[in-house]
Amino acid sequence: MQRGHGRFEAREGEVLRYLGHCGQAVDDELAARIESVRAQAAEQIQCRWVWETWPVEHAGDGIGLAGSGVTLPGASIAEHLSGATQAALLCATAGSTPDLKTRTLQRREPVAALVWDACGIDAVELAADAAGAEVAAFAAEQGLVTGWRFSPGYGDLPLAVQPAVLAALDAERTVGVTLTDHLLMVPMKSVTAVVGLFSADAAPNDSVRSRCDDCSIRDACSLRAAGTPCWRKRDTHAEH
Amino acid sequence: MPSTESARAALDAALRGEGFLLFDGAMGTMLQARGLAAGEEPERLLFERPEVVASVHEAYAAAGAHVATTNTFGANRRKLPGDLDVRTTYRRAVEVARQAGAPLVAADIGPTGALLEPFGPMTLDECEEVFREQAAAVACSGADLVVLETFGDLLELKTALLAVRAACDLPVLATMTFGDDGRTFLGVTPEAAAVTLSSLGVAAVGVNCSQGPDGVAAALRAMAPYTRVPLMAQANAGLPRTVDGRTVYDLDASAYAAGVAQLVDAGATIIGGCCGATDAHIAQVRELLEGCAPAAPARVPVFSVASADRVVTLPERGTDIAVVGERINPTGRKAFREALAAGDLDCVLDEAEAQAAAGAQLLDVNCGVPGADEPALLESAVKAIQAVCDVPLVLDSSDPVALERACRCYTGKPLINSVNLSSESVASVLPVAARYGAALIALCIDDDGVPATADARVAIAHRLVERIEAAGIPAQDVAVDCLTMTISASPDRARPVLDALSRVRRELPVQAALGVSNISFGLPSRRLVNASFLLEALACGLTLPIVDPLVPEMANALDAHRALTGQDVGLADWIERHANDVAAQAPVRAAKVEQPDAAMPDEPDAVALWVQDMILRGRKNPVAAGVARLLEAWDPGAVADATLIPALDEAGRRFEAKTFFLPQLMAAAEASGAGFDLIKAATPPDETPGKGSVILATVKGDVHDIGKNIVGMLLANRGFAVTDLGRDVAPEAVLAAVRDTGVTTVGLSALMTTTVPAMAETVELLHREVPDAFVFVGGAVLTPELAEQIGADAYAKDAAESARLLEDRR
Repeated sequence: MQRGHGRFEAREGEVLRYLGHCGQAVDDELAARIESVRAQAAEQIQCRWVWETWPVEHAGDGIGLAGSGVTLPGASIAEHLSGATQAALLCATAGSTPDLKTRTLQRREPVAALVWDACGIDAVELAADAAGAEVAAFAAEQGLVTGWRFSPGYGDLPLAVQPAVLAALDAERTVGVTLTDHLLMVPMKSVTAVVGLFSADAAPNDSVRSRCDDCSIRDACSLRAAGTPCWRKRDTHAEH
Repeated sequence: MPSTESARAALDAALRGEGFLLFDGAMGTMLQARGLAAGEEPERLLFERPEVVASVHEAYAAAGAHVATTNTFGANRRKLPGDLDVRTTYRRAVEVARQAGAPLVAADIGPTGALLEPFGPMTLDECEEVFREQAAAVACSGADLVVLETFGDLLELKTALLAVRAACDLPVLATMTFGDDGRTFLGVTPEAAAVTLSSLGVAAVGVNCSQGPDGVAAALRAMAPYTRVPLMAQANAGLPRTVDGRTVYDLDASAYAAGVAQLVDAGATIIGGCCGATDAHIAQVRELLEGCAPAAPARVPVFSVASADRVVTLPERGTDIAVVGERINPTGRKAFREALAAGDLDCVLDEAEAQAAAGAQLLDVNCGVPGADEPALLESAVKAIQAVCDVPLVLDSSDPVALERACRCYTGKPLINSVNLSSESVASVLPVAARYGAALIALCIDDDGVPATADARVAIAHRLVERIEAAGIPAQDVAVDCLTMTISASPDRARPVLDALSRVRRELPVQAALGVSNISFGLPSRRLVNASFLLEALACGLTLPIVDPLVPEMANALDAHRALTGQDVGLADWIERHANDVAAQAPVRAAKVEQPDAAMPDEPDAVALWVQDMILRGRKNPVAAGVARLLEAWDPGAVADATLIPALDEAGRRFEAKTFFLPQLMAAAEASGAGFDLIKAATPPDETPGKGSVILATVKGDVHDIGKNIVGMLLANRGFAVTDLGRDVAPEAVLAAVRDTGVTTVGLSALMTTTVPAMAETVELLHREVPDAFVFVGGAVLTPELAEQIGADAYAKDAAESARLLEDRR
């Protein structure tokens, strides 16, 4: 089980994007308010992550990760892991600070609460990226490459796998992530994901399809409608 | 293998700090080595393969461990598989350990696995219920002691501890887990844990898991000066790595034992292992302990209080001071009192933050509003304050029920203000303070009231401290208040206070608290009198001045006192705060600077347009100023119609046209709120021009409520009466609210696809039971089609549309 932690400064462009910004003029005062929260968030949000890899085996009712106690059902994950020899489970969290700030500021300073929420989203995204990079480095040591992060709730991979995923990572102890009775993670700014490890010749070409295809809220998603989906690769939003 | 008798002797010696008690190492690591799969419930083995669990206990006993920890880390109703019950599991676990030859058996209790409010959705009642059931199971399990381990939330651990102490008299050991930043996942510091837990009656307090011996030693060293009980340590065997698909820890048994030597140096007398530590590790630790003696305790007697991450200590007989901010108190403050009575805690939070910024080290919280439900108010205030501010709290009430409820939900060790020598107070307050491990302010009052002379007050102080100690609270946790009396009635009333204060500090090992501002009641230039009296009292030994730290005269006097008595080391604080003082000008503390805006015009019609502009630009203070000006000329309804309503309409239009994005819409709502408050205050209660009422809720199973809250705020600022039921609200609870209030307009929010069925269920229930209900829905996963499909009456894609929808329905 590999663990990491770090502080990440939420990216200005990403924060604006999560706030629904699409070109509106932002006056100095609002910009300063956003910037001030972004700076506080960079200082106060402590991200943690944990990951582990297991051999992939095809079980009758889905993809099994041998020795983890996790079976991943459904066609989406089967396709995602098609050709993978191993798969990593990862859990990353931005901790309780964004949740607490968002809740406690909501009444008195709703604008700050919104920005905290957006900073929490980007912080956990960066933490999951960091965990993913560690998995990729681990894969590279064995001459393998990794696919993209596939989270429970994408496609037909149900949230019902969350208890097993978090238990396999001992996430309550290792990163402080718990589940509600309805399978939502608390702290809320937390991510779990499956990453496949492939030999170079079996690596998936994930540029051919939009990840929105697998998404359960594609029809209602304002980010997708705005042409700025949540999964864009880093280089495509470098202009921010 | 130690005998039960020798293990019991070791336990007694360790609890006196005079010898070592050796615990076992990891359970999970050993079970996994014996074939437990990741993710499998370890408790199930107790019933299906008890010999595997027994073999772990046997190995540890053979290694020399005095204590076996039961395989019950997750044996609570939230985590156990449905077919296992809590009581049977504990009984079975103790039995398995005993039969395996364990000299002593510790019943293990871990965290619930859910996060408490405000971090997560679990209420304190639910949490207490989980631990009560476990405590009852432990009490009849046959265990010799109880260990509460791997906690990250001090309030959760406190709740568990109180439940166990209420159920049995077994010694309870409590450990928390700290990360590399020296805090738990929820920000608790080792110092705060040590202060709080050792006052709550634990037999030992300590650190487990998360790191190897180095990290655990650092946390133990932080605890050592603050604990009043022995220290316990259970470190991991270093950091985990994966080798050939197996998790291994990087410290072998001898490296681990070398690390454990640091834990002994740091003061630990109760030692075991956590993740990765096996029987081989424990055997080496036993050898180490056989060759050394416990370190001398680092603790010194101090008065102490704590929040989750901050401690305030005052040495016995010392002159160090801790400033108590007095402003959270409705007495003599009409607006504050009315807001509090209406359950509006924003004013409390504003005062808490302002006083903390002005240097208050403790905050007095008094919610005594005549006619209001003080216990409920005090509890809500404490919960709200500790979510935003880490200054330790003083719970100020004479109502024992209010004190009990506030103590129960307080994360840390509170100071109770106050007890006095009247028989009623002694009988009702002392048990609460003792149960919750609180420090106490003791007033020099008895059944006959406040005596006039110093002698009589000192006599009361002596008797009261005796009563307090008899209740189990050490004198070092007491601050005596000799009670300031108004000098305008009789100028000879100051001297007895100061004389009594000096004598109390000299004759008793206690601190002195004093609210000073009563001294000047009825006089001109009260602040001067107050500050002078404060300095005289400080010179007599006052250590907990209860003052308004926002008053410059008081703040300056306190700064000067610290500088003059050497508490301000190198005069750094004095110089920082006063280097730029200009003669005759008070230092400005916590001043808020606003960017200049175009000046307000004179003519009311022009002011109204200017206010609209300021709302759209999100400028709170100008909006308040403009609305205040307009209220002099127009009636409140006209002011709202000319300012807030058109500005919010415009903000909504811009948002829809995408010329505003969400923060701009919210900034407009926030700014209009400042005007709305004034308009509401100026409107006679029976004339409130209701736009109508609406109930809002985030549906069952969903904890995302930021969108619903935005809707609520926008509607409230437009004049709707909003009842917000919160998040994760069951369909029946929505129906009950509709029936209770008679409000039939309901807005429901859901963010997750998985919670849409709960939304559908709620809509269906409302329509079935309340035929005229109007239910509108929104949230990230909703579409107009989906809304129609689940039977909603309307769909609103965002807050602006919700407002328009309800306006159109009027």
